[in-house]
Amino acid sequence: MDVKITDYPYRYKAFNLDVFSGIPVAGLAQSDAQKPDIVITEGKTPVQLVNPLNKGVLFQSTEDEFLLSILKLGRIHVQNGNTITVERFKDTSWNEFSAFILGTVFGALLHQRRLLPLHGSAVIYKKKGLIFAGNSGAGKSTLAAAMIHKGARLLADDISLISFNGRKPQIVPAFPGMKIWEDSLKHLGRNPEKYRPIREDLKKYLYPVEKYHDQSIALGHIFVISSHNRETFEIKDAQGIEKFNTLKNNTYFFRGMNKTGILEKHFQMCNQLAQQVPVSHITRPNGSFRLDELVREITDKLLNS
Amino acid sequence: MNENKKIVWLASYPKSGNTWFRIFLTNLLNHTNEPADINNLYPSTIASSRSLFDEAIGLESSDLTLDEVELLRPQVYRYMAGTSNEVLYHKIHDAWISLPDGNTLVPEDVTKAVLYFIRNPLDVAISFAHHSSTTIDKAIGMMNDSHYAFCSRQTKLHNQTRQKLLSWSEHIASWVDQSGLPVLVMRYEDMITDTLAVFKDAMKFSGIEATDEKIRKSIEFSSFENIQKQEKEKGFREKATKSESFFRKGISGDWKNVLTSEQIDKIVSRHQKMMERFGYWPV
Repeated sequence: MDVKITDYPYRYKAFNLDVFSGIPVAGLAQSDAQKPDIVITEGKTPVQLVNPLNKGVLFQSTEDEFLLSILKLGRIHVQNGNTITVERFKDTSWNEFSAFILGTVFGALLHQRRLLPLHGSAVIYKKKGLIFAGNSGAGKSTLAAAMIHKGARLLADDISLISFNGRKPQIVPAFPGMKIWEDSLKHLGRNPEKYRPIREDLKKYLYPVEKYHDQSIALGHIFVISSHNRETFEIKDAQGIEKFNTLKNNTYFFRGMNKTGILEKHFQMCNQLAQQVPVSHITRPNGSFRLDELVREITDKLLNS
Repeated sequence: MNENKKIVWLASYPKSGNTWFRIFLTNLLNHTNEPADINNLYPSTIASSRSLFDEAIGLESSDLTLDEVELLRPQVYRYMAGTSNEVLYHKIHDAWISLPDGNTLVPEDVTKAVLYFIRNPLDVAISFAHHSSTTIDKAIGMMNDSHYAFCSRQTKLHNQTRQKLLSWSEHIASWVDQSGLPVLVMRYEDMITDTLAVFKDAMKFSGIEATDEKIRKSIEFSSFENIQKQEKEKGFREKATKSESFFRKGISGDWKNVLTSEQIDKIVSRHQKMMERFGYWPV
């Protein structure tokens, strides 16, 4: 992209893409790139899209456009997989937008680039790229943080991007930070007061991770985390079509690209992934987190596979 | 009729017969000749489900405050009604409340009917204590608390959105007196003693066509013995982890054997008016 560099005082790296931004985005790594893959600009956004293919309460999307209305804070418009425009209402602090940019906005943008983002956190552990996927609240970030404690390095939090450059699917590093709730931080022995909340009124914090791996790594195993009301841990390998469906269901923000032409390519990628990478479902007791046991289940599984 | 009035709310304070009715309803809507799987109930999504919310909204609710989520919930129900071709059934434990922006949590314009389940609070206290793995005194404390809410802790992510229950009496008043919605009150005790008549009324009220034979069969398939047997064999996904079983006794009047006179006093002194109104007091 050709842009006037002085318009973008902030330069970041996210998902191996160079981001030039006119506004600060908390949590991203700095970059010294001279040309951007993506630009973030402050500016006017449409109130709604023309002929949206998908519409939720706060979003609309077409194949190459995505519009997110964030309550009284503002609106974010994403186009062509490379342009993000943020319009803030009144004097909303830019900090309030970071969580949404790092989440749904990047999710939509990666789909627009015809890439495969899974809803999961990723680490490299004993030279193996692992993804912990699952619904919000499944414990993906907390598990990844616990694995880092065990010697793993972070690749991604919440959105794990898969690339198919080369023969084996790879995990693309996202950025060196995680979003972690106060209770989980305490569980990990950290003092929440030392971290910055991702939004002013949320007890969820931006947790910078020094043990970060900034190179793509072959994807070795996908674990899908869920919980049940029994006291036991269960682990089960997904087979056949179930594997494909699991990947489809754990795609980050699948809703945003439904009914668009992106779907066909997406299904091809899920299919390719299903054929090449083992997928296991891990179910944990839903009362207390029992993190050490969960980590042991994962490491035992890796030893035996 | 407003064509978006598609949601039948199965509303109740917890432990008041809501789940039993959902099992009955699943059997009624099923077209099989055997009892429905209690772990695959048709009206399975509780209105406070986080995944239901996230699916409709388009961003992760974990990035929103509890108050922001609450303000968006009416829009989620409008979205669901607007995108569905059929009647939707949703269990809901929230009290019917007005929100700071003037909306109500449960919008009138998407509500087809409300089936409101009510049970003697003296029995609710025992069942609620078992379900929450807590003492009966603490359960009574929750039932007497005007600010009581589920999933209200702000330092972690719950799998459901915050639900303000208010006190037991206030919960009833909110739905039955204040909502202005079409509400049919179903007493748990009547559901036990006069099952066919009560369930027939419920079907009629919510506009579900069913023959007496089908209703009878669904009642049989959802009998307490039947569902308790299923839970023993396969477990029940809605049981709280620490409680022993979800379908415990399925009776009314157990309070006479279990509660102390102090516990009875605590409940009656706070809820006497509502108890009298629904025939629970005097005994």
